[in-house]
Amino acid sequence: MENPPITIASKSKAEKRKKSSLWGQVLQRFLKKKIALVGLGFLLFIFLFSLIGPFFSPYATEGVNPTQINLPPSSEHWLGTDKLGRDVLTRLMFAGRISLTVGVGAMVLSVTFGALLGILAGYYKGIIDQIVMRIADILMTLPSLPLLFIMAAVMSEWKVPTEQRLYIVMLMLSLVGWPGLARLVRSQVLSLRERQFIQATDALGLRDHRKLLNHLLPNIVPLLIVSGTLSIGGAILSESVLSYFGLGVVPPTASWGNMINAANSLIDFQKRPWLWIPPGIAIFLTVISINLLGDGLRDAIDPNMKRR
Amino acid sequence: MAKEPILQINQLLTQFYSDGGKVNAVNNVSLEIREGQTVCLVGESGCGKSATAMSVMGLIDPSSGQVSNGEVLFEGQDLLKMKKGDLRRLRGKDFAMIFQEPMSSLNPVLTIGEQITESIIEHELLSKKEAKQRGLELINLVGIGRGEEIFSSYPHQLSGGMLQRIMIAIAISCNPRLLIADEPTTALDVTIQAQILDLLRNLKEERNMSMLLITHDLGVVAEVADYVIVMYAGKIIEQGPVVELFKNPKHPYTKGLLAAKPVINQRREKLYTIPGQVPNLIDLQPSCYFSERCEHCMSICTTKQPPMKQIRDSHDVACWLYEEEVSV
Amino acid sequence: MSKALPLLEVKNLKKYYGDSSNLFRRNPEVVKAVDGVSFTIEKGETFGLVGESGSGKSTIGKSILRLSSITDGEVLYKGQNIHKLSKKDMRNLRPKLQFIFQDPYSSLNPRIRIGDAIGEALIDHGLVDKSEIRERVLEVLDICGLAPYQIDRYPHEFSGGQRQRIGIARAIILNPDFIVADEPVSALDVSIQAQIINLFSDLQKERDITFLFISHDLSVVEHLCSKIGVLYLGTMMELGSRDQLYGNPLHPYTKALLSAVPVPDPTLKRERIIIKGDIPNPADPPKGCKFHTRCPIATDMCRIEVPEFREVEANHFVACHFA
Repeated sequence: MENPPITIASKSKAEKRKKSSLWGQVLQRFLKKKIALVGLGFLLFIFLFSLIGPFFSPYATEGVNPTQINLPPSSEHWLGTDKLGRDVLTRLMFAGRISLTVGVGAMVLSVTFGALLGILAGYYKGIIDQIVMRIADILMTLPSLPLLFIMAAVMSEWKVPTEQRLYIVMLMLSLVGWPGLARLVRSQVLSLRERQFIQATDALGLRDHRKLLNHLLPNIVPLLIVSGTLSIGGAILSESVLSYFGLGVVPPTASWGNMINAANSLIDFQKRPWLWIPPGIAIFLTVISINLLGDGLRDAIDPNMKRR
Repeated sequence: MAKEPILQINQLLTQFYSDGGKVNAVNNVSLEIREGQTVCLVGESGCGKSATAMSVMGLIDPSSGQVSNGEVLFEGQDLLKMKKGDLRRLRGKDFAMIFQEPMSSLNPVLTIGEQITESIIEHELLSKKEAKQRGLELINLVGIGRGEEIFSSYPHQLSGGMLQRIMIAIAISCNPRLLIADEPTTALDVTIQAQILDLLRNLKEERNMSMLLITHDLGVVAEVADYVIVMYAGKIIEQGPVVELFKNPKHPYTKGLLAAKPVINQRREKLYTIPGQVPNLIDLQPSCYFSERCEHCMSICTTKQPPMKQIRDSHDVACWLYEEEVSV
Repeated sequence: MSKALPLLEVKNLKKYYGDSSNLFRRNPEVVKAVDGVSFTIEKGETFGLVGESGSGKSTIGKSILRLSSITDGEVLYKGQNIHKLSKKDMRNLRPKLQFIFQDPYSSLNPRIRIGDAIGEALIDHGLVDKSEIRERVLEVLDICGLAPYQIDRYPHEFSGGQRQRIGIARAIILNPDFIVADEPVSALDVSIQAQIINLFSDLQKERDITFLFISHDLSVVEHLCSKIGVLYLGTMMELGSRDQLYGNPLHPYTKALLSAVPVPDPTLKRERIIIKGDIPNPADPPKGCKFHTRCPIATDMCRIEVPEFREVEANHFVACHFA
């Protein structure tokens, strides 16, 4: 008898049901996670609020108006005005742009560094691994907040122009963010190396760049997506802390952190809650949405390959 | 000899939940095991042989599936209706189970001794000292010397074969009347497999124990079974006494399995192959589940499920080929 | 016989693990996974390596293709020492020497469509023009019994047997001379196993590929291999043609192995040799003949003296004092 060709029962119902794309399946699973969808919804709202919102606002972010100082919320100024007469709602939107930019930017940078160094360390092992991981170890032994404070203080000392501070803050945040990610990626790569399909690339004699880019990287992307998403929240929080202390993004550029700074003054804290409650709520909602989204993504992406 | 069946399964239906709905992993399976009898459940992966054993033991994880219908009568009492506490008292004492992976069935942080005596103390209400004595006897019985040394060692210090012996020792520690063994030798090397099969055979004879052995290896079946049950896609398709079934297989699947296995000193140029592969249990329509792969497939096979038909003394087959022969 | 070079020659191959002292362990346990194994494989032959766990059979398979380093010895492919080749020469040789893995579930990258997985080595080695790739992939899919519409699917959509076919397709698309197959059917069900075994014997005949077939299953090896070596704890115990080994096994270990394989015939009553005891720890193998702890005919000599691996009849080698 000749080798009978395998026929899959004339494409049964299950076959048709099955999406042939891996990301399609992830999406299907993700859409079943209600809480994560709520997180995603909130996040979208905050993005739109910050990006598009200002176009609908009659006020400019730095529109100082000495005649309308410290007004409580009213129909004209929904969230009141601050001590320079600027509309708080408008500033909140602009601050959202800054905070989200810092969060996403710092995430992109630390994922890039972390993934790159983690893959190299895990794949080549030996001396590269030693160097990368020792640097990561050292960075991880230093408490990150004081480290950030010192760097920010240096930045202030050098009189970095306000608009550039934003990018430097991102760099600083990614500097403390990448070691954890590099560790995760490295251990993932080490365990992938033991899988037969990576050994198979050796047997096929594939070139290194193909092994790294076509075989290792796609298997790490899920990890990167999940931990990247979750790290945005952390970056936004760190930026807020820095800015709150006047070390991150400094006025006149608005950020949620330096808006909360208003709570520093006893009078503002007691008498003018419209100055610091809105940015506080914005930070809270953004970070919690990001965490819900990240958890949902992890559940949707993770269990996939195990069951067929 | 009309011995009472020690275990009787009637119309057992076990379903697992999946994305596409409920899957009948065990589909109306009925079987019985008599005292001192070894019954082998044979089949390929996914045929429901392990799920049958798990259902009997009440070990189906409620988050992944359930026993939806049927009876499992152990000496006349229905295990499925039994209270949890009563079931626990029976399990490990009157019937016990050994698994495929001895390494993962033992707790790595407890000594062998602690794990052997655990169920003795639990079920037989013996003191620690007496239990240890029993444990040492058991270790000796399953063919490992150096009892004291083994007693105080940890699972990782022993080889796979030794661990499987320990698992057997634990299983027989309370003189169970029924032993369920799920692929007990699959993870072991051939020379060790021969030892374990020998051990199981001897234990069964000495203690008049009944055994339900689950395996995919027809060679193992031929060595230990009294009665053989062949499963395919959740259903029993053929059953009969071991000699009869091997000499005179009726179902095309049983025939195919026997012909597809390479046998030492019987080399053929080409192995017989059963074309295709096991169907996905989700989309099964009323039909003979083997029809897609069957050489003798007729039109009735694709529309109606064949009933179980007795061919000869306690040799039954579910196949339309024989149905016509008998009824028309 | 002409003195043509054998396709593959393994000389005194040794692979030790844990052979490095470090700061914390002054006396590291050395595991001699492979301890001086030699054999040759002629072109067109299927050589079977049999052994139980810890016998070093997989290590040998990997070392032959330089997928793992070796401690000592030589692996000569058409006369050139594979372990001495430069990285570049080795890469150029890779397509000729292929490997088929045991576990069909983990040997395919879950994130790569099977068509890409099969074709990518051709692209990477620049063997075929990009426009022809799909055609070539479809061709090997057909040879391996897979349907054309499956080319764009992901591994998780296939059963174990089909995945093993994909693994085979990935190897043969490179037109290799020599394939090491490491337990390629042991994870499969009987009915699927037979399909894959037949696929192997077709490939053997039609494509003139030389195989090293590694397995613990003596019945499968008998079916496929013309020459067989029996390993025990990293040492070759017996080596001979199929007929010699199965018809006239000389080493007590080979006899025991053959006798231990269950035969699917309940009426067969045979003298079984059940050897006692466990496979010793490879880190602490017995002195003398490594098999003496379990051997039914061992004497004092076996406990002291390592038996010579000698030719008892033409091309039939045994390492036993009493053979």
